[in-house]
Amino acid sequence: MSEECSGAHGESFDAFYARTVPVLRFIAHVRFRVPLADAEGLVQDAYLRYVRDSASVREPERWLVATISNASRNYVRDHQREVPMPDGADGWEHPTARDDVDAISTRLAVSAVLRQLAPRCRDVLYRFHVNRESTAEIADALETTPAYVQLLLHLCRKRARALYLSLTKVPR
Amino acid sequence: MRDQHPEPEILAEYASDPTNVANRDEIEAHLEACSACGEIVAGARAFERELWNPETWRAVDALAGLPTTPPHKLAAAEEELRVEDAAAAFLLDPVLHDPEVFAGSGIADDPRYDTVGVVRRLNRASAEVRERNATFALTLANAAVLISERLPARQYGTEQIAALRGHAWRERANALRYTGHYPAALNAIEVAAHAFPATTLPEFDLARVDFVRGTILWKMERFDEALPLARRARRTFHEYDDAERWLHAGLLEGGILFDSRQFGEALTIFADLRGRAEANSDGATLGLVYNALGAVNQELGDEPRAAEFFQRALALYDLLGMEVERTRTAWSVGLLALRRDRQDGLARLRRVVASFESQGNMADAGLVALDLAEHLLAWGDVAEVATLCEELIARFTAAGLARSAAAAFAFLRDATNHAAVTPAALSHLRMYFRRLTRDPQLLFAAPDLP
Repeated sequence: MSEECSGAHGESFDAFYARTVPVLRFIAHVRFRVPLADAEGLVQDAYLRYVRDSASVREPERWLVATISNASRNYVRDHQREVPMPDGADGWEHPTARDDVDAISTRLAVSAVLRQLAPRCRDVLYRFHVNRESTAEIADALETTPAYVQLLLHLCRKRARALYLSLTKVPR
Repeated sequence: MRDQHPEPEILAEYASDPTNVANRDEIEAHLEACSACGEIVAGARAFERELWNPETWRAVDALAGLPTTPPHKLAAAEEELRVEDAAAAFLLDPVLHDPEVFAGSGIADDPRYDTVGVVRRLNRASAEVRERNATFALTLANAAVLISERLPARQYGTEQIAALRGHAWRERANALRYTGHYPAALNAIEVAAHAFPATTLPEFDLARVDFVRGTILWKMERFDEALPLARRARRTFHEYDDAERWLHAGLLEGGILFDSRQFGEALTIFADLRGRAEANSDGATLGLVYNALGAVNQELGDEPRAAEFFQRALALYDLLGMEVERTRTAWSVGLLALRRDRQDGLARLRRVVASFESQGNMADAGLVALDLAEHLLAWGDVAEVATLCEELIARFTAAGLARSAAAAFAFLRDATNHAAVTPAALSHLRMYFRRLTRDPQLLFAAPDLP
């Protein structure tokens, strides 16, 4: 790719794409729940538009994030019958605030870590953190004891956290 | 403990619940002095937080295994763009440096020039020369429009052609704005506004259309129509985190409010721009913000504050070697000085006239001379007023404004010959010539004076 449409700080377009594409997919598919194939289409449209207009784009990453947010919102509005509007989506701000984009990056890193866990670990953590099931309810579902679930939760969280810290290692 | 970092796992336990760790006091003492360990604690807390977020979990399966290298289509588009831009540079660069050479090249009738790359190069060239040579910018933009309208959508795709035509018409509107052809500029920006919605992702380009349309309407003094466009453009540029365009849309919004004499609201806008302009704008934009703050404070009667902002702008322009902008600011300082010390103010304005003349900016030299004449007349210095009025005609003629201003010259000559120059007549002339520099087609209507 030419220098003209490289990303920020002189990185190559390929590196810029690799760094930013997960965030764009996250916004389209995870946040706005655009079906994956269509979300990928929107993401590629955004990059294509960026490549063609890169001379007039001053903050490439922010420009792409705002573009994919607009595109996803329009998509959801146009397909309300097939894709129900996620709760509160009308009031969502564009995730252009640096803090929000940083939070998406953290979410992506945590989800990459969870992907590496054993299925049972992931299941227990999901039930506890997302479904808000108590240890007793989880134990019931898994036909084990609450004490064992508590231990499993502790170990799984510890393992996930260690993976996350190694992924985001801070030099000391 | 201060020399030896705690293990990351201990820090993570501490982040999860400080009561989990035995040596809490030691860790807290270490954290006070060690930012790297603080980052680990913050990271562990972010991890804990995101574990509770359903979005995190949806991403686990939804985004697994997707490629992170650009697909072939994107690489091919970039390659096509690069080749067309290189070909356009080869064809156009020899004729873009000189308006006469360009006019003789006949590119608008030569099918060799019918490419997307040529339109893009012409659009860019038009934008680059707009400030220095608006007429040439219009010639270039017109060529871009002509070619873009001939390009076959079949070859390039409907969307790319729509975007290209939108850009070309927007550049034409900008060039027409600079040459003072406002109604034609408005027509051109309407065409651009209709082109972009045919593209998949038009919001950013439509915000740029709003900005240009708002600027044209502002120049036409249609403030009620201009204001919502400026506001909408500013909002969109904020969404796209485009600081420079956000600042310019804010300057437009504040400028409209200022010219509508809503000085309090204008001050709020300009003050809002200041922080971001100081943090990350180029010097020229920051200078505009300081000047705007100076002008609005002056109107609100806070002269010390106005002087402070004008001084900041002057220092900035000195630092950056921006002579023209420095002289414009010195003009504002001269007018401000007149209120406190007549002789000092007059001396400053005379220096400003000389500076503009030395820069070849005869129109602005004429406007300052009119300010000077108006104040001298108010103080009864009729002899110098007559000399200044005689020089005015030469200045505005040299600025290329003689045709539109012929009636104004006749009025001025008549008034000077009959020693009938009054403050009201000068004020009317000053308003006319000020507007004439922004709208070179504007004709003069003699004032209905007592």
